[in-house]
Amino acid sequence: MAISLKRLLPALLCLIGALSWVPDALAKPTADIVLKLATGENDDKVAALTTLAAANDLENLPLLEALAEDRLKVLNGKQVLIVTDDNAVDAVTGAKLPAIPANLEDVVANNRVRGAVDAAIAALKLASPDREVRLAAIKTLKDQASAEMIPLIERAQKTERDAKIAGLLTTTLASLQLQNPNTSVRIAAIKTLSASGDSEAKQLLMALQEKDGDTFKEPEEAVRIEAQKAINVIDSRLKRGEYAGMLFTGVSLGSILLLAALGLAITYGLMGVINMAHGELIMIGAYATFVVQNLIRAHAPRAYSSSTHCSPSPSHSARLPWSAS
Amino acid sequence: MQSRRSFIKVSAMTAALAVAGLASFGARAEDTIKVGVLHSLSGTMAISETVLKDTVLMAIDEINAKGGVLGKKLEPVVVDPASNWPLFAEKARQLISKDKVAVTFGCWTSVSRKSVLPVFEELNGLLFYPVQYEGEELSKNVFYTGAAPNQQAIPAVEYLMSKDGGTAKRFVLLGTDYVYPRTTNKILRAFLKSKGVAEADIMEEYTPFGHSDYQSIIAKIKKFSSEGKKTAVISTINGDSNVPFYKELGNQGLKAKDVPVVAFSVGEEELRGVDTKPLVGHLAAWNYFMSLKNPANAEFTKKWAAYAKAKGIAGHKDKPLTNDPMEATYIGIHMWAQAVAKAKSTETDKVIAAMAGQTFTAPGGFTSTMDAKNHHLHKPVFIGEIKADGQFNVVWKTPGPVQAKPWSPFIEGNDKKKDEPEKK
Repeated sequence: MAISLKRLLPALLCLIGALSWVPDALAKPTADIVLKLATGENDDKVAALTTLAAANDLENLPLLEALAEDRLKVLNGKQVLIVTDDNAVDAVTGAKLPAIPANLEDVVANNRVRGAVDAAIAALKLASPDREVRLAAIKTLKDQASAEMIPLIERAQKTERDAKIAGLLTTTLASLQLQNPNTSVRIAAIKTLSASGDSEAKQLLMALQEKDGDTFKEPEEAVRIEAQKAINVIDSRLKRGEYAGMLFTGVSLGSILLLAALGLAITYGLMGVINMAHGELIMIGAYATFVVQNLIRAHAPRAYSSSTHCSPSPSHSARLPWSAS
Repeated sequence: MQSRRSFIKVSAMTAALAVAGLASFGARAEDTIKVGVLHSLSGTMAISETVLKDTVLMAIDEINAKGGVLGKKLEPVVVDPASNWPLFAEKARQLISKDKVAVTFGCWTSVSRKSVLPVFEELNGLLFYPVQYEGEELSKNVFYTGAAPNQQAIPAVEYLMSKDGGTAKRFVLLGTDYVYPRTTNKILRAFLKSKGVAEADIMEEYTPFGHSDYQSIIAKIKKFSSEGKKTAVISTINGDSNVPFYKELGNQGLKAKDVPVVAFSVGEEELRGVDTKPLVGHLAAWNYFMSLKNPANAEFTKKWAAYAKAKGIAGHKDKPLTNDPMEATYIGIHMWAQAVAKAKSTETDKVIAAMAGQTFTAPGGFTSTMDAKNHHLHKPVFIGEIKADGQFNVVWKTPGPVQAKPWSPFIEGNDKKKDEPEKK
């Protein structure tokens, strides 16, 4: 009996997940919003996107994705179409058109609108049952979320079980709450950010210290002091990381020099001649490093970029001490 | 006997042919108007300039097909100054004194223009300069068909500072080390200062011509942008350095949504051969984009595609691209032809007088007008974002053509300068 319950549990969890996945009743993008999205000014577009995201309806996803991929087109300034390779669908009614019309106008989306589109898509995907999708979504939302998305994030926080995603949700929520009218909420948000402590959080906290003319952007002094404390914490953490990086570079450069010196010393010790051609051996080593580095860059670019993160000098091979001559 | 007679016959015929040939050659020499083309076909600027030579040749073919100018055909004289600035002056002198060209179309970099300027002034030649530049110059002998700073640089920075451009507060001024980027950045610095941007929020960097290692510079920009406040990069990098610059930008994942890069010398042609997918959203400011939709542009791009295919122009025969300096060249040569027809002469002074107020329906979608006084065109300004296919998406434009201000009001003392060339 106990075993069967254990087996049932994941299934039950799945069921709960599926239930929370059911879209809100508001549904169907209205013709008005879609037209605003396609033909409005940028401000209208962003407003329409916020409405669509807040509706939290997965049916809006194709529309948003079409906009993100430049597949949203306008016919005669009135009808908005989602165009794929071989057909066109009305974005409001979902009716399929007999053929792709020839005189379609593009929907122009600039960086700001595209950012809002990405955020809206990510907000909708926060409710996805797939962990990877949710993780990607919250990573996008981290820099793009707007205050209107707070309810969405709070709802996602309640159902989230994955620790990593939950952490990201909390920091995202905290960064949005920095603008909250309630002082204690702001202070709590700062504390959360200081605990997460990345450089982006530092930027947000720095913004609180800025002055707008003579007055601070952040009116409460208590909040400013808290922000300064948090900045100090983050700074010291960043500095530790930097020292570690420097130490690593020092050791790695030192070990290369050590190898060269050892080579020279051993040849001299064994044969009693100074090997003037020792440079060749170092050259072989340098070339091998270069080739391996390029191979990694070509076949596993992710590993390469993360390795450049931890070491302050990414062009290591180019800065070997003897290459200066 | 037979052979002797035939010999006389043959030689007589040959002589007649030779005379006819000579006569026709002599007649041709008088019946054509020579047009100089002074663009680098090799060296660091070849990536940008080669196609301008072909644009001049296309426009000449077009004018000749309609019967030429003043009943004479145009004859191009193409020289290659090879991205070598002193050689530009030498070649310009050769074009004017030896080849006796009526007009020259040429130069891209301001340093090459500065190099040929004394030659054109001394020999009273006529130069049409088709590229956006830094202003601070007005010569009687030059017509500037590209943009002045107020027709490109200033609107672009205003856009970056606007809500739609991302309200940038910190700026990186990155350029190739010569007169155009240095002067433009001087103007931009003064402009930013007038908008309340602090010195500490401006970073200025220069690289030599042909520079190809942007790894450390982009790492520096990344660091600068992470120090708080929204950062934007204003690039005045010229020539083939743009390819490694944009490649590195893609490699290091500097996204347009975080740190937008707006370029003043990068168009459709420079992005050929760059993977533009990671670059989507980075910007360029010009007075023309290939993606503009209007009848004049449709005709222009169609003509260019057909010409490139017929002549087998490398790259363009498979993937024809047009860009702003090509449009400016095209406007320039047509306006010159109109002015010559109006002046009924190719004499420099008469053509200069006839140029004032010339109009042309430009592929940019507006009627471009040559200013009555200051030798610059009235042009519309467009700001485009790079799309995944290497074309530009116009995200901002002026309602109509803008009058050029070659003397930027952001440089001290310019308010006293006259908006027309000094007469000599």
